Amino acid sequence: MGLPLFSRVTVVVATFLIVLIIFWAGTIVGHTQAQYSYRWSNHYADNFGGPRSPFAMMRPDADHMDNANGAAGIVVAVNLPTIAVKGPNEVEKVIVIDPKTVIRRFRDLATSTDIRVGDMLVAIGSSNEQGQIAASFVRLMATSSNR
Amino acid sequence: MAENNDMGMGDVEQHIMGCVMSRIAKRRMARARMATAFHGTLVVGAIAFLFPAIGYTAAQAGQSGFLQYVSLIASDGLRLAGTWPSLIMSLAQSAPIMGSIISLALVVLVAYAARKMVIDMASLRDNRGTRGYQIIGLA
Repeated sequence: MGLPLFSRVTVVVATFLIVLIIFWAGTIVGHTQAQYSYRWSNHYADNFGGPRSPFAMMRPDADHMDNANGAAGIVVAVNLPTIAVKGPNEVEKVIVIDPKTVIRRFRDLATSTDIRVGDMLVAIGSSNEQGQIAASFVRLMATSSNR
Repeated sequence: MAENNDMGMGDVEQHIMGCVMSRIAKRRMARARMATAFHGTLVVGAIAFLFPAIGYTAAQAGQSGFLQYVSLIASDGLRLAGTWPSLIMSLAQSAPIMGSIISLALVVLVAYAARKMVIDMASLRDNRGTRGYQIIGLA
């Protein structure tokens, strides 16, 4: 005969609750990404020393919102305390290193001066007002040049 | 004619019953054949789309950096304990959601169509078009 009324109501309420939680998580993630993308776009000239190429805006993924809490890719410029990284989707991001940032290369601790152009890294942190990522953890990955 | 005249009332009923049941069985067989063809096409089509969908999901995961963040958990899981909110947010923002939705939907479609196809094929094997309904408890 199926579930009793109380169980059916419980299942409906639980499902509704799960849907609401997923929706709430989606709005938080979307808001964070939109805020970062807006700041990144607004401060592009300050961060990268020039206006963004008009051709970059014609790319099919030009309106794609990027990760506000991390960066992964190849280091294209080092100007401590900032590092510019180009991700697999060809988008550059600026990472800010502070004295509290933990930097690791293989099993050892490293310092910001160990980071070189061409290194591959993954950084975790939070975005700031300038559309940069204030890194709290940086992992330098093995590449063919530093292996 | 003479034979028909010799039939009793019960025989006539049985004869009509036999004709009706045979018609119903033929209809069921035709329906099972059609359903098998439809569900078979659905299975093949869904499998054909599944591989590009998985490829798209993998490409999305690679492009967004999702794989690098996952590898970070493997290499520095305990060291990242202090920054877990940022890591969770990174994973959520770079997760290949669209690719995963498409791939999972296709997997569900393959499973559903394959189940239906097995039931239809059982009906065809049964030669009466009812076996599949028996399997799922409808006959």
